[in-house]
Amino acid sequence: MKNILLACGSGIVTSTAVNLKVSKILDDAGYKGKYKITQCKIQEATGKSPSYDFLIATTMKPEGLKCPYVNGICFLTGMNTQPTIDEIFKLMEE
Amino acid sequence: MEFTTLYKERKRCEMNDFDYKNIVDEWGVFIFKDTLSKEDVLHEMVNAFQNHNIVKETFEKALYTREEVFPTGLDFNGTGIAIPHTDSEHVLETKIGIGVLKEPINFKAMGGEGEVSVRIVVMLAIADKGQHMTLLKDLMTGLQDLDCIEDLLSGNSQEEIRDSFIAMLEKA
Repeated sequence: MKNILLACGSGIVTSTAVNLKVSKILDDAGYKGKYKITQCKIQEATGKSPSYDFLIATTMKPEGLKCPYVNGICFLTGMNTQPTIDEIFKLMEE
Repeated sequence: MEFTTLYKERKRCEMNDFDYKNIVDEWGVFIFKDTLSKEDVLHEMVNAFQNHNIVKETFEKALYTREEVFPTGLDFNGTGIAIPHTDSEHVLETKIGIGVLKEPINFKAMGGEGEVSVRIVVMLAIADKGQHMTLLKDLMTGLQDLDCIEDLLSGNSQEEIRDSFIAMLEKA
């Protein structure tokens, strides 16, 4: 089970949009039931990061982060998503 | 008991989320023809929200601070779109405002890398966390549709742009 942290400035608006996209991508790739996504405000991300496998964020990488960081902005615009999807799949297999 | 509550809540959300005609009002649609500053545009849109009791007085300052720290400029297939918003504690009712800029304005890019030349400002007032999943998904999906963006940019009246925007959300 991978614990994925998903963060944006508000912890609700852009992270919700990214959550829905990422969940669908992971489910379609056969990861259904093998991950848990938690949304939070980016200010909370560093503190929470030791208990998570990786962070997907629509902001810059927060300082002091204790888990790998993935920039999730491409899931909002739909542009050039494949490299980021590959990055996430790699983290799912680690 | 818990299941029934959840089911009812879900039904209620679905109904709310799909009623886009109540979420986008003609008064919330702007066509900015002149060269304006980002501040002018945001202020005018916030003002409309305030005049219609959609947001609290604290919304404007919170929105500016947010935009400064966590900018919302995004490049959707070559069209710059900003989606300024802030925490739901400053919001009384869920609405979406839309401003079409005839003269583009630079916004900082989301994620903090450079600037985006923005043609459309989509201002979000989200009142209740967790109830608008579908709305946000439909918005982001819709904005990725080039034809929908073209309809928004070429709209000649508030009514036309509102209709195109609702059609975009319903189609997504």
